Amino acid sequence: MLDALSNPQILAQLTVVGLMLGALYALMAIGITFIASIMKLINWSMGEFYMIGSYVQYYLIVLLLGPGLWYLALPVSMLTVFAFGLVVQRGLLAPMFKYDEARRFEYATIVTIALSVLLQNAAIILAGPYQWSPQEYLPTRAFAGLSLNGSRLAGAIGAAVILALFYLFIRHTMVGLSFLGTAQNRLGAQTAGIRLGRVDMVAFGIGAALAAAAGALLAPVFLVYPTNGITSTVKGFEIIIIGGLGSLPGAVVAAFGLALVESFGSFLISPAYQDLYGFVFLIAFLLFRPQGLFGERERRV
Amino acid sequence: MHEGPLLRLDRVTKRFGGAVAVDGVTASFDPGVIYGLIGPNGSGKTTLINLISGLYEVDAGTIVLGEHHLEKRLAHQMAALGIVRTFQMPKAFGSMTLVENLLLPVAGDHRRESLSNQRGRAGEVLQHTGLDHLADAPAASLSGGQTMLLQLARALMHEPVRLLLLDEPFAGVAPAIKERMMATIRRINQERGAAVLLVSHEMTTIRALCERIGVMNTGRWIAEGPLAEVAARPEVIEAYLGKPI
Repeated sequence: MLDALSNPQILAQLTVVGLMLGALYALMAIGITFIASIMKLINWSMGEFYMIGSYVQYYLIVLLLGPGLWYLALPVSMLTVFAFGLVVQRGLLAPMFKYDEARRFEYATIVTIALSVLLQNAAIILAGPYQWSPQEYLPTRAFAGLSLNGSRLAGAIGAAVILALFYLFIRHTMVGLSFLGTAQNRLGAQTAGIRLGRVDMVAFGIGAALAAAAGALLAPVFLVYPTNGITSTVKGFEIIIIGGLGSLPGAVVAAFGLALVESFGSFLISPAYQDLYGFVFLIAFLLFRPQGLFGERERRV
Repeated sequence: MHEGPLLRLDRVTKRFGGAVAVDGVTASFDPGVIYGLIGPNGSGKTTLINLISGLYEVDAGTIVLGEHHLEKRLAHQMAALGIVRTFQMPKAFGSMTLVENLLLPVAGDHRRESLSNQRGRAGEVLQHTGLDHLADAPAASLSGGQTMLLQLARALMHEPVRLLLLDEPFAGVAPAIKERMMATIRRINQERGAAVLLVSHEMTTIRALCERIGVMNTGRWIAEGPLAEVAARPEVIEAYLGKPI
């Protein structure tokens, strides 16, 4: 099998497949790490935001828009989950921030895990325990001798556009600047006049919307069902651990790394264990660099 | 226009468990005056600054800025009222550039001015403080003294600045940077008409900058007035040197 890698065609195909999937993984990982860096908590219900995003996308396409307009369904799906994220943050998380700063990590863990179970069961009741798939977003096409799956290509393009917009927003707008500042130092940002309550709420909504985008774009590839967020959450966590928690560039690099490992592993060993290669990669990685790619070792005074 | 003192403290008290850190402090501060706040270690100076800037809640007493009661306000509301502070442990935003550090207060109050205008102002402030050659460097690359200077420079980006609270800004800072910090403090005081409350152990800088001095000891406000006058008072000498035998 290894000698097949000397064939540039196969090498290119595996790399392209990995890169396309990597862009989608990056969406999920950035959603998790963005919320973690601002609010200093892990949102364990990210997978359910992914799931809701995939359902909204599926129903919009099947009932209203048709697969040709997947790119119109995408922002609607993101906005829906963004709004839902605002409500969750205001209703379930903000009160803990108000009354007990010190324990909010523990509370957030319990609350978001409970929310995740609740949403999965709500989806089973509302949509049934079935697997759905919207039609392919684009026809499969050949490019320079490579075969590009249409849905994955559409997903990669969509993810690249969203990531670019996210980068511009964070780095080049005033609101983005207040997010960066809050991520670095909450107290310092607050004394500079930044309203943490508002930053937390919007950041949570944005993180949720990024997960929804991943769900919507991956709907034809990984399907639509009540627990489809679990795998994606696990991958998201693998990525942020490899990249270093709280590091946005780390999340992007690790997302592509993980997707490439999966793509090559599937070809060289067996596609049946695709989800396992990431874990092996993660463990091997942590042995050599426990703080992650761009993470800092925790420093305390 | 509001006449009279800018900031009034009335019997302000803060306890930590059984320890009384600030004990019934009553004092007032006029607009546009640079005050020094001195006292032995543990006398409650930093706690008082933290109470005024909204980091701690008062246990008793009132803090009034102009017509605004401050006791229940959050730090970002204080900033909106024009209370700006620096920290003893510098709170810089390490992975952000110096310019981005300066733009943060602008991001906080959602000013309508364009980003490029604000960048221009940030550039001017950096030039004034002599940090302009580092404008696009990450703040983490600065020395401790430069980080302090950057904190001060950030105060110039706030709008309005009515009261500047400085907690040991000169500790461990090289003399050349100290000079620039003093120039920046004077500029904030003169250009923006801000009152300054400076906590420091360094009598030379206090003497050079401050018109009036407040003295604290064991949580109490024991004296206030021009430096020469305050230094001669027996209770101040006692606080620093102990009781005569």
